[in-house]
Amino acid sequence: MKKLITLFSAAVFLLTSCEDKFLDLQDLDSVTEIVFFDNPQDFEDGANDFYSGLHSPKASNPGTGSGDNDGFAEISDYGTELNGYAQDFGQGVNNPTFEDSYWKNAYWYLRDINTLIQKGEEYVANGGSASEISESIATAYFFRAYHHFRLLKRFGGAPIMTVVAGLDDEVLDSPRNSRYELVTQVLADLDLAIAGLPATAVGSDLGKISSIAATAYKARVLLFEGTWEKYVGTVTDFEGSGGPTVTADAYIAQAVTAAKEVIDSGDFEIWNQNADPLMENNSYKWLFSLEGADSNPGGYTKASNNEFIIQSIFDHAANDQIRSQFTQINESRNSATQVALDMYSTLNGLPITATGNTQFMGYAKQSDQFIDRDRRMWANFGGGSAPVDGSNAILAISNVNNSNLPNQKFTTWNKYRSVREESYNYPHLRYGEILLTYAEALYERDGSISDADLDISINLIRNRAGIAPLTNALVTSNDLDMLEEIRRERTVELYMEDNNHWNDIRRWDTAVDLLSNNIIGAVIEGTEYESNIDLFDPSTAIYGFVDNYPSGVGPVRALIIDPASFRTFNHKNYLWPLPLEELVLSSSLKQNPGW
Amino acid sequence: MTTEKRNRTNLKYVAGLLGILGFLISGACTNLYAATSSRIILDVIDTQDLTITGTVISSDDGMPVPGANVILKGTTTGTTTDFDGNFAIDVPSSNSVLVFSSIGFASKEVTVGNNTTINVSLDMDVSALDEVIVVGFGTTKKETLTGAVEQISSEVFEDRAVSNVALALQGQTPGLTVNRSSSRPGNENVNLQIRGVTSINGGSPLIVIDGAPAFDDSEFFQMNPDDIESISVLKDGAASIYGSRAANGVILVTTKKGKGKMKIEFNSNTRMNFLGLKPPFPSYQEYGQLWLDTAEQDLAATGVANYWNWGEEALQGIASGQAGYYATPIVDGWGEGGFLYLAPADRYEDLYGSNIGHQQSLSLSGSSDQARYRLSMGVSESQGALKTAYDGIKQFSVRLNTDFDITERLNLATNISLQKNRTSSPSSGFGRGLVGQDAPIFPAKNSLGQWYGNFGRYSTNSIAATSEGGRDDLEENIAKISLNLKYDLGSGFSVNATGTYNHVNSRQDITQLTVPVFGWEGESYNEAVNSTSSIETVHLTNEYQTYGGFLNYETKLGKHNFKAMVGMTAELNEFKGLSAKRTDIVNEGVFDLAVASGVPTIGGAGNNNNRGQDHDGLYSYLTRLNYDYNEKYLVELVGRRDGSSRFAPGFKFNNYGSASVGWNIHKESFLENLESLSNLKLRASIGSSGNQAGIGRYDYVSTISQGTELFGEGGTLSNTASVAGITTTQRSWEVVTIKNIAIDFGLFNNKLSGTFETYERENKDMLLGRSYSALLGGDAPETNIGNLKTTGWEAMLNWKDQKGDFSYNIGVNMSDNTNELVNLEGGGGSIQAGYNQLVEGFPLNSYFVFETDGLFQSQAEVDAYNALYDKDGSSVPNGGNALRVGDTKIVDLDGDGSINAINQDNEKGQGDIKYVGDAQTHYVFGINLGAKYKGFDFTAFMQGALQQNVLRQGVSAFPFNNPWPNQTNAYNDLTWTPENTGATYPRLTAQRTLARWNWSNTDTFIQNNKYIRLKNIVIGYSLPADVLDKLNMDKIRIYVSGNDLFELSSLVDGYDPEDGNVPTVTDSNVQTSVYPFQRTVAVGVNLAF
Repeated sequence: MKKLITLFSAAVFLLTSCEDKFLDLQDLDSVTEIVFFDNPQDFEDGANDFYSGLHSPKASNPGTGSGDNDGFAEISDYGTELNGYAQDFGQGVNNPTFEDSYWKNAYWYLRDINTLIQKGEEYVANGGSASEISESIATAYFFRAYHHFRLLKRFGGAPIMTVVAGLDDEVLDSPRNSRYELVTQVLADLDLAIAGLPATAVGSDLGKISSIAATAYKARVLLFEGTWEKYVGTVTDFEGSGGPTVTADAYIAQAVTAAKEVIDSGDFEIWNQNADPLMENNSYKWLFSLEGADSNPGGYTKASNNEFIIQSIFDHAANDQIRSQFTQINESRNSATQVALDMYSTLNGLPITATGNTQFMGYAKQSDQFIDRDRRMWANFGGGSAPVDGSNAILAISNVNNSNLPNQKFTTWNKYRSVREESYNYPHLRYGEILLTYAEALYERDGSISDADLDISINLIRNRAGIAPLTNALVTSNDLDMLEEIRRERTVELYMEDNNHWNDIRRWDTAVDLLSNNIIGAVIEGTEYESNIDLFDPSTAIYGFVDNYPSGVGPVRALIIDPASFRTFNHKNYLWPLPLEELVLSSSLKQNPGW
Repeated sequence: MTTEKRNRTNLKYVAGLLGILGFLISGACTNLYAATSSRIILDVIDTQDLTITGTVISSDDGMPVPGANVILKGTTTGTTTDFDGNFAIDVPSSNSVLVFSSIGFASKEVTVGNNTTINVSLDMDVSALDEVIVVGFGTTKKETLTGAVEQISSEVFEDRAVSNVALALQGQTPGLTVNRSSSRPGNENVNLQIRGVTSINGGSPLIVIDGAPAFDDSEFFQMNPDDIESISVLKDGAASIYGSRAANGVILVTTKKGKGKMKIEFNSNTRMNFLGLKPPFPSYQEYGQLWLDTAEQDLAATGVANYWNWGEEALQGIASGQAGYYATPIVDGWGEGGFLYLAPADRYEDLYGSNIGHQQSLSLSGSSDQARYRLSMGVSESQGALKTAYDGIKQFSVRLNTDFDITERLNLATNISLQKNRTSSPSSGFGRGLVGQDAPIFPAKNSLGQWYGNFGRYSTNSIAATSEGGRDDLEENIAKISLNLKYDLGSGFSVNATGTYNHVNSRQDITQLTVPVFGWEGESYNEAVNSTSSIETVHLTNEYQTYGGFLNYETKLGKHNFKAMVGMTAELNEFKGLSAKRTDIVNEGVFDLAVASGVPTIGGAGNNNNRGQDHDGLYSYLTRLNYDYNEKYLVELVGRRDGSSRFAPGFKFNNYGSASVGWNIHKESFLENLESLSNLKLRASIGSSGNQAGIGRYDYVSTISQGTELFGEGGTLSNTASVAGITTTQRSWEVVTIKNIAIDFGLFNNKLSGTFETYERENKDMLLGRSYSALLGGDAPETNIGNLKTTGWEAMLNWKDQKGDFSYNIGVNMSDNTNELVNLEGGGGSIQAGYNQLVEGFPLNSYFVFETDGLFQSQAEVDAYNALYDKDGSSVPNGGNALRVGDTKIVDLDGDGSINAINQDNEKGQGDIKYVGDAQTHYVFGINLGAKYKGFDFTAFMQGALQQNVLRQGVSAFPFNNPWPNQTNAYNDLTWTPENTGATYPRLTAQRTLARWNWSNTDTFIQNNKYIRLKNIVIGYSLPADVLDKLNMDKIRIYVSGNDLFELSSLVDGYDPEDGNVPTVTDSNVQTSVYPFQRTVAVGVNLAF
C-alpha cells in the first residue's frame, strides 16, 4: 500500500510537471504587440495604417464593421438645395439614432493613433532615437487632428482623446469638450504635425501627408472655425460649453497666413491643360477622373497632376480600386436641382441673374441653359446624357427622381474604367480650395480684396473654367457683391468635394434659409415642358409649383421636388445629435441643443 | 507449445508493442491508468447438495451469453457462465431459485425443481434496473445511479437509413435535441444540444467514444451506425466528471466488442429517396395569376395596378400559360430591348427528384478466454434531392476493437478506426436560395440549348450554376488509435492509463467555373455564372492527443459500499492549415491548382483565413467518490480542477464539482409489501462544470494586424500595422451550475416504468462583451459578466409486456426548457421588430412582433388611423404607399402616437412590438412503438413538437416581400379581398413597402409550428431457427423501413416543419431552407453466421 502511494505520488508529480506542455501554448501565427514597435519601420507601418481613415469613397469603418458605409450620405452633402435627392438630414427631420458610426469610428481611429504616440514615447524612453520615428509620430498628430476635426464638424464639441484608455479608465466618462477646446487641440496637434513632417511628399511618398499639406489642412480648419464663430456664434453650443478663448477674427487672419504659406511654397498648381485643344477647355472635368492616358482626350496621366494636396492613391494595376458604387450613387443623388444649374456664371463672368446679362439663353429648351456657360456646368451636368437638343424628358416626379441631369463629376471618361474599378486618385484637399480659402479669408479679414490677390487665387480657377476673371470693376459695374461672388466660386469649384457645401452653408449660417425652403427641380414656365405632355405630365407634380422662382429670366413658375412643408431645417440641425447609446453609457455627456 | 499458448505469447508481444507505441506517442507524459472494474465479486460456497448445469443464451440471437451471473436467490452465492455460456452451480435444495442476469439482459428467475439441467434464454432489456449504464470513466448499475443519465441502445441505429448517426438520436431521449439546418447529406450542419443552450458563446455536448474524447462532432456523426453498442447521455451534474468540457452535457458512445464464438455479420440496405413536402412555390400559370390577383387589389386600392416591370400583357400571358416573347418596360435592361422570352419553368421540378442510396456493413467478432475482437467495415452513400448534379456523401469506415488479458491482472484494450468521407456538391447556385429566388418563368435553356439568363440576360440561373458552375469536393480522413491499459493491483485497487491519438486531415477543392448565359436567341450579354473562374484548395491537418491516468479503489464493509477514483487527463489539439487559390481555371475536365493560370494567392486555412497553425490544450485533475448503503442510500461526489490554454496565466484553472444523492425508496421495509411497486427512486444532484466555447485560442494575447496601403506615383503597396483589438487577461471559464431533481418509478415488475426530471441550470460567468463608451475606441473584450438561466423538465413513460409469443412496448417522452438572459450588462443593443438574439430579461433568440388589430375594413377606418399615426418619425407608409382597405392595422402599443418598433425615447422594449416567444422548439416529444411476434418485428418511431414560433424572413416569406423573385403561393385565397373581408391575412399588394408593413414581423404572420412526424417505421422478418440451422446460419432477417414517411403540421405556408425557423437570416434578399426534405424507403437484410 505504501509502495503504491509512493508510486502514485511519483506519477502525479511527473504529470504535474508537464502541465505546461498542455497549457502554456503560444500563438503560432500572429505577431504579438509585445514584440512589435521596437524599430522605426514598425512605426512607419503603424503610421501608414492611419491613411485608411481618410474619408474616401472606399470607406473604412472600423467601428461598425464592413457594410455600413458612412460615405454615401456625404457624397451628396446630406441633401442640400443643390441635390435632387432629398435626405432627412438636409430636410431637418432626422431623429437621434442609437449609434452613430461617425462618432464611433473617430474614437476607433484615435485609439490606434494614441497607441502609436504612446509606443513612441516608450521607444524613446527605452533608448530609441526620437528622430528616427519623428515623421511617423508627426503623422499620428496629423491624424489625431483630422479625426478630432471631423468630430467638430459633425457634433460641435466632443471629448478630446489623447490617451489609450483601459477598460476601467476614468477618461471613458469624460465630459464633452467645447468646440473651442476641441479646435485648440486640433490646431495644436496640427502644429506638432507641421513641425515633424517632411517638407514635401512626392515620388514614392505621394499620398502621404507633408508639412505643407498639414499647413493647408490647418488653413481649412481655421477658416471653418473662424467663420463659424463669426456667423453662427454660440447658438449651437451645448449646455455648459465654455466660450471662445480666441477670437473669430484671429482664426480668420491665421487662415490667410496659412493659405498664403501654401501658395508661396510653389509646391502646387492648378491643373489647367486648356491650352491643349484636345482638352476642349474641359480640364476641370478630367481632373477628377485622371488616371491613365486614356482617361482624358489629351492623354494626360496622374503624373501631370500637381493640384491634389491630400489625396488617397488608387491604382488599377495594384488592384487597389475605389470599389464602391461611388459613381452610380453620385449620378442620381447629385442630379441637379434648378438652383444647382443656375449658380454657374456665363462666360462673361456674370451670374445669370445679373441685370443685363445677355449671354444667358434662357430655359426654353434644356440645352439652352448650357449655351455660353461656365465649363464646370458642362463638366458636372453636361456629359453622358448631355441635353444637346433639349429633347430629354423630365422624368416622373418623386423625391428621388426629379431630373434628367445626372451628376458626372468623378465619372470616368468613355467608361475608361468599368464600374467599381475606378482607380483615379481621390482628392481630400486640393490647391483650388486653398486659393478659395485665401480669397475668402482675406475678404473676411479686410472686407475687401485687391485685383492682384484675386489674380493669384480665384482667377486661376475661373481661367480654367473658361469664364472672365473676377475683378473689383466687374463687381462694381454689375452691382454684384464681392463676398457673394467669392462664395459662389467656392460652391461651384468645390461642388461635391468633402462636404464642402454642407460645411459652407452652415458656417456662413445660410443653411437655415436655404434648406427650409422648397427644393426646386426645374423651371417649367416658358419652356417646352409647359406644352409637351410627353416631356412632362403636370399631374405627376405631386408637390406642385412655385410661381416666383428667381430664375435667370426673372420670377417664373418652377417645379417643387421637395416642398418646404417637409422641411424643418433650423439651427439645431447644424449639428448632429450625439448618439443615444453614448448618452446612456456616459452620463456626463450633454446632448446638443434642440435634440 | 500449444497453439493457444503460442497465440498468447504472440499476443503478449503485440500488447507489448502497442504499449511501447502508446508510450512513444505520449512521450514523457504518459502515465498509468485503470478503469473502474465493477465486476461483482462473488463468494463461492462449495458445500452443496445438487449440481445444476446448463447454458445461458440470448433470446435475441440465440448466441451463448458468456459471463452471465447465476446467483442463488437470497444469497451471495453464485457463479458466472463460461465462454460458451455454460455454467455449473451447486444448490441446497430443489426449492432453490436461481437468478440469471447479465449486462443488457432482463434477469430471469428459475426454480430448480427436479431439473439438473437448466437452459435459460435471456431477453434483451434496456430498462431493467440491473442494466449497466456507461457513465464517465466507468459504468454503474442503473439501480445505483444518481445522476440524469439516459442510455440509448444500438436498436435506434438499426435499420435506420440515415447518413449521420446523430439524426437517429432525434427524439430518442428527452432533453437531447438534434437539429439540422439542411437536408443535404454531408452538409446537414447537425447541432446537438442537451437541455438547451448553455451560453451565448455556443458550445455543444462533449462526445466521448470508448473513453476517448472525439476530436470534434464529425467523428461521431460519420461513424458506422452498426459499430455502436450504446450511447449514454449525461445531462446533469453527472457530466461534471468531464469538468472542463461538460457544461453542455456529455454523450458517451460505446462501440461493440467481440463476444462469444466467432461471428460474421453482414447488414445491407438500399434506400430510395423521394421528395417530401413541396415548398409553396407556384407554377408558371399560378405565378402569373398571383400577380394579376395582386394587381387587381392594387388597382382597387389606388386606381393604379402595379405590374412592376412586367407589364400587364406579360402577366396575362404567364397566367394563361403561354410561352413567348413579351414586351416589358425595361428597354435597356432585360432581354433584347425589353423583349423577354418567358415560358413555364418549374424550378422545383427541374432541380429536385428521387434517388437511391445504400449502406453496407460487415463485421467479424468473437472472443477467446484471453482476447476479444471485433473488426468491422462500413460503406455508405447518401444523396440529397438535387438532380441537376451530384450532391451527396460517401462514407467508408474500418474499426478494430480488441481487448487482451495479457496476464490475469493486466488488460490492454485497443480501438483503431479509420473513417473516410467524401462529400461532393456543386460549388455554385446555393447562395441565392435556388427555387426561393428564381421565378418559374425563365426556362433553364434557350432556343439554341444554351443556358438562358434570368430576365433574358442576367447570370442567375440555378440550374446552370449547380450543374456546370463547378464542384466543391471535400475529403476527410479521421484515423484514431486508442489504447487502454488496466492493471489490477489487488486489494480493491486498480490503475489504468489511456492514450489516444487522432490524426485528421482534410482536403477541399472548390472549383468555380464560368458558365456563360445567353439571351433567348443566343444573344451574348457577357453575363455568366461565376464571372471569374477559380479553384481553391484547402488542406487542414489536426493532431489531437488525449491522455488519462487513474487510480481506482473499491471496497465493501458490510452493507457499506465504497468506490473511489483519482486521476488526471490531458489533451492537446494541434492544427495546421494551408490554402491556395488561383483564378482562371479552364474547364478541360481536370480541376487542380496546377491547371489554373491566375497568380496563386496563398493563405492559412480554417475559420480565420489568416491562421496557418494553432494549438490548444486542457489539463485536469479529477476525483470521484461513490458510497451506498445496501444500494438503498446513494451518494456520489465529484471534484475537478481544470486548466485551459485559452486563458492567461493565473486564470487558466478553475475547480468544479458535483454532489448527487439517490434514495431507492422501494427498498425500504415499509414498501416491501407493495407487490406492484418494483421501483421507486428519488435522485437529486448539483454540479458545476466549465465552458470555454466560442473563445479564441489566444484571445488574451494582444496581436498586431498587418495590411497594406497604397502610396507613391507608381502606386506601390506599403505595409501597415495596428494593434488588432482590445484584449484582456482578466477572464476565465464560464462556470455552469446545474441542479437536478428526479423521480424514477416502475410498476408491475417494471412493465410500466417512468422517469420525471426537473432541472435548473445557470451560467453565471457567461463571457460577454459589455458596451463601453465609444471613447474606448474598440470593442471591449468579453469578460465574465453575463448570466443565462435555463429551467426545464423531462418525462418518460414506458410500457412493455409479453403475451406468449407476442411482446410489445410503447414509450413516450417529452421535454421542454426555457432560458432567460438574466444579465447582459448593457450588451445586446436595442430591440428590433422580429428576431432578437440577445435581450436582457428574455430568452435567447426572442421574437418581438407588432400587435395587430385585424385589417382595415373601410376607408373611414384608414383615414382615422392615418390622422392619428401618419406623422414624422412614425413608420406608417404614406404617399404612394398610403394604407388602404384590407391592409394591416398595427396597434400603437406604447401609446406614443407613432407606430415604431422602438419608441421615441428609444427606451428598450418600449415600442409597438411585444414579446411573443423564442425561436426554440418546445414540448419536444418522441413516441416509440414496438412489437414482436415469432419471427416478425415491428417498430415505429414518431417525433414532434408542440410549440415553435416561426417567423419567416427572406424573399419568399410572404407575397411580394420583393417583386422580382419567386413568390410564395401559400396564402392564395387566404388574403383579404372585397369578397373575402373576413380573411386572416392582408390584401395582396405588389408595393413592397406596403407588403412589408402588412406582413413583416406581425403577430398574424408569426406561425406556431406544431407537428408530429413518423420518423421511422420498420417491419422485419427473421427466419426461424430450424431453417437457419439447415442453412448453417445464425440469423437471416429481412426488413423494410421508412424514414419521414408521414407528418402532420400546423404550418400554414407548407415548408417542412423540421426546417423550423431560420432566425439568423436578417437579409431580406436571401432565402434559405428551400432544399427539400426527402422521404426514404429502404429494404435491407441482416445476416449472421
